[in-house]
Amino acid sequence: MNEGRLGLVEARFADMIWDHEPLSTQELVKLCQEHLQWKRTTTYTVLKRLSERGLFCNEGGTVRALVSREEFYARQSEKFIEETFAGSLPAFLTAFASRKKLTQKEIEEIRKMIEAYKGE
Amino acid sequence: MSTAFLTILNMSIAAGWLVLAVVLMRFVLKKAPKTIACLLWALVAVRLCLPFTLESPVSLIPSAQTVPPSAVTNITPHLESGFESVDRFLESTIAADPLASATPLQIFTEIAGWVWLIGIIGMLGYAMISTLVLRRRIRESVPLRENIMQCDRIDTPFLLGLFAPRIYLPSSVTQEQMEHILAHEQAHIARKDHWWKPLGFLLLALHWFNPLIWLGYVLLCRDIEWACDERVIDRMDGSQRQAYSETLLSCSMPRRVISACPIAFGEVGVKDRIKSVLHYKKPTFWLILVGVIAVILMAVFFLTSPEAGEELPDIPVTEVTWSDIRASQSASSTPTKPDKVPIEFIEVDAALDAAISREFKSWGTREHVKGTIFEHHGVICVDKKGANTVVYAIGAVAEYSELANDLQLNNSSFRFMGMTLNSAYQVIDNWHPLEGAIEESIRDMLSDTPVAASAVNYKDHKEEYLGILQQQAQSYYGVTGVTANDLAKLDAEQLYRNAPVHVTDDIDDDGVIEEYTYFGLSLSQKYLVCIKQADGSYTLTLQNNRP
Repeated sequence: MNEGRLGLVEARFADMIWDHEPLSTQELVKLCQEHLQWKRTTTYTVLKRLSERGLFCNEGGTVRALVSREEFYARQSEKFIEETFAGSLPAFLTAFASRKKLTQKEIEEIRKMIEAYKGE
Repeated sequence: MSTAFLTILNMSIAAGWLVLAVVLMRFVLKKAPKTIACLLWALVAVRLCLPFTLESPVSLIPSAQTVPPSAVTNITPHLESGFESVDRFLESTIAADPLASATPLQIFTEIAGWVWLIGIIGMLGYAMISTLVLRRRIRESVPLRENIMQCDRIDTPFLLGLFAPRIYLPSSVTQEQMEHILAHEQAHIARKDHWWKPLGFLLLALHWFNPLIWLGYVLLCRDIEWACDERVIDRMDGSQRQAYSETLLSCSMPRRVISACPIAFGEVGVKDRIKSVLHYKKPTFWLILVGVIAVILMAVFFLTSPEAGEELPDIPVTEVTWSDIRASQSASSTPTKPDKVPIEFIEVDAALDAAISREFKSWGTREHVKGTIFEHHGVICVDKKGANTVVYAIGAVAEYSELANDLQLNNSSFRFMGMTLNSAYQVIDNWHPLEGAIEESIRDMLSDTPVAASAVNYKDHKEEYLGILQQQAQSYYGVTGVTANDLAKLDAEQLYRNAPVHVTDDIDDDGVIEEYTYFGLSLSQKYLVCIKQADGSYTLTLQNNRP
């Protein structure tokens, strides 16, 4: 599924759904009206677009998420590493570490992660 | 439509001069605060709206009415651009054929008026459509705080809205950039630019045909941005200004767009703005003062219009007769007025003569004719135009009836006429001089004929012609003038009954009201009065003056 990136506005909208799903379209429209000052048509337009991208679906007036928030952002990170570091996790970590100092605890956690990864 | 267009055209030309002056002044006052430049553009806006301003001798505008409305219908139009050579050159190209029904300038302004209207609709339509399209795009935006919105689908920040203006930011701006941008856009709101820019665009739409106004609008947009930049960086130090110019750089738009709204952050002249920001110095008090004085002076010199030239007084032809001129010539050694040229009448063939008579009679005769029509005319000039003949002539028509061995003048007219006749001597077109501008219009009409100078004196012949008609009537009816005997032959009662006018008044100032009627007798220059007495009888008397 090619979900693409979420812009700031789309992210706010997606959060609205993830926070309240499953919810009826009327409820979604009301929420968007209240928090985003959106018209009905705008809400429907964006919903349709994100549904086509495979994130949500609108079944007979009820909006559900096909991908959870965590799953979505996890995939985003994967894609980022793939695109930027040619899929090399060590390269990513090096770049990451060169900007921030890792605590001992963090080093341990990452080592565990690598072990788990190597194991798969 | 053409009058509206003409007004706008004249305003546009006058404002064009001011635009040139403002461009010059902007260059001179480069170091002054940009608000001064915006004030100068405000002057231009005023000039573009007001058709008439105060007249003053110090006006530097060459002309407030380059194409006067009278030039349109005039055969030899008179333009006033303020430059003689330009006037002469243009006037010769638009001079008209006296016999055409419309002057070239008339035709041009009619068409131009409609083209102008279409242009306005086009411009306003474009502005409306692009605004609607934009509004559609930014429906998907989320409020940040107060009147600030964020949107994924825009690449440059802008200000949108007339009554409740909102600042729209692309999602991609950083925190630091956001600070700068918001400060700038809020400066726009404080200066009410979200009103001035659309107003400027509206004026541009009205004057779309004038390239100088386009130049003015583009420069106005730049100056507005500059002025807001100045407001923002006035309180910043060097490093902050550098950061601000970096923001300008990252937000600059690649293409050039002329728009009414919104006001985009990176819209115009980014390179120049960055240069100004980096080299900004707080303007001194003196510089500001010079700027303000410059604005006031520009207003005085360019918002006023040049005074209208002195007009020579018309010499009323009708009041002056040959005897007056001869008298004044003998009284003073040097005549103050130039000698009048007498009309030399020309002979025409009998058929044409008859046609001319018919035409004068048709114009000079009323519907209800009691007596007999008499007509006399004199032809001033004749011209063959292809199969047609053009004649200019003066003629008198009079309707006389007979009464008491004398003449009653029921109706008379004396006029100057031009007519076009076809090969069968039927009149196919007809021309009369304009009421209130008789001499002028005759001069215009006959300007390229040798008789123009004499034709304007046609009224000198009025008495003569009417006299001829009276003589004709006299011989026709064989009357010699009323005498007491003639009165006795009249039937007073019938006369009274058939009279058109009955008056109830004290005719002889004796305190008694009488009923009477009266008839003017032309030959003897007397009035025949018929009084109805209290006892029902009628008396006839002759009076020298009108009762």
